[in-house]
Amino acid sequence: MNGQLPTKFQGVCVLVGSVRAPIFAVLSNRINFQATQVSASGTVAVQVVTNCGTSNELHSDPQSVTLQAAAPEFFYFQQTASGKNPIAAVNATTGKYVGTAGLLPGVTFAPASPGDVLTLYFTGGGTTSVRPMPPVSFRIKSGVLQGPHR
Amino acid sequence: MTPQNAGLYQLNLRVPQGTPDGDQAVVLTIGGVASPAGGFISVHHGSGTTGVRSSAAPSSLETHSLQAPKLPVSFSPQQFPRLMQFPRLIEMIQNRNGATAR
Repeated sequence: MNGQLPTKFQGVCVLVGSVRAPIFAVLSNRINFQATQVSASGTVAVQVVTNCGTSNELHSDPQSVTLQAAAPEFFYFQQTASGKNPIAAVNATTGKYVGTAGLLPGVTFAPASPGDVLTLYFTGGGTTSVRPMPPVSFRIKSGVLQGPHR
Repeated sequence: MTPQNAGLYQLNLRVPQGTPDGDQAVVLTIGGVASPAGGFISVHHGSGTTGVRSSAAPSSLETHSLQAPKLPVSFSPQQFPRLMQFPRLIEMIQNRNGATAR
């Protein structure tokens, strides 16, 4: 939404401490959200709020979540019952997804070779040394590009 | 961090010469915390296109380090701008998430 994630989606909010967290997805049994700026240790209470922002707000019981500086985990093309999962990766040279042929229907995969450069995708890396820039927008007024506007 | 995608990190690595064929485990450790075991990359000699090669020494990234019991890896962040192009992957991840807020 204007380059930013909403903190209320489908009437749902997630409170990390007292701060609304940016929401990626709301499903019947799961909410994907981004952790807010929290300390690197200790615990924080997390609550789900329905009818968020209305007079009928419903708050779940707070759940205590342990904090740490990082909790890395790769994204996977597939999660198997065995726990052995192909990491979401792209071959930098060919642009092909890295995996065995037929891993997912309709997608072309090729295994990596020694010497190949790959990109692997993960989350939970924690705070970065360079903070992401806030969204920047430009607008055209009377044929002149104006901006940036934050 | 991956531009335009909050919470999505990417790391670039080169598959070491001599890596045997098969599913090779990869573990990422940041600040002493390791990614869950079980993640792997499939390797097969002669299947890739190793058009990009470098003799540059592996770089390290401050508190970011890699531990790979079966697949020693190195990586150079921001070395390959092309790697920023992965809309299909994002689409796949989002599709697996169901309805998304984007």
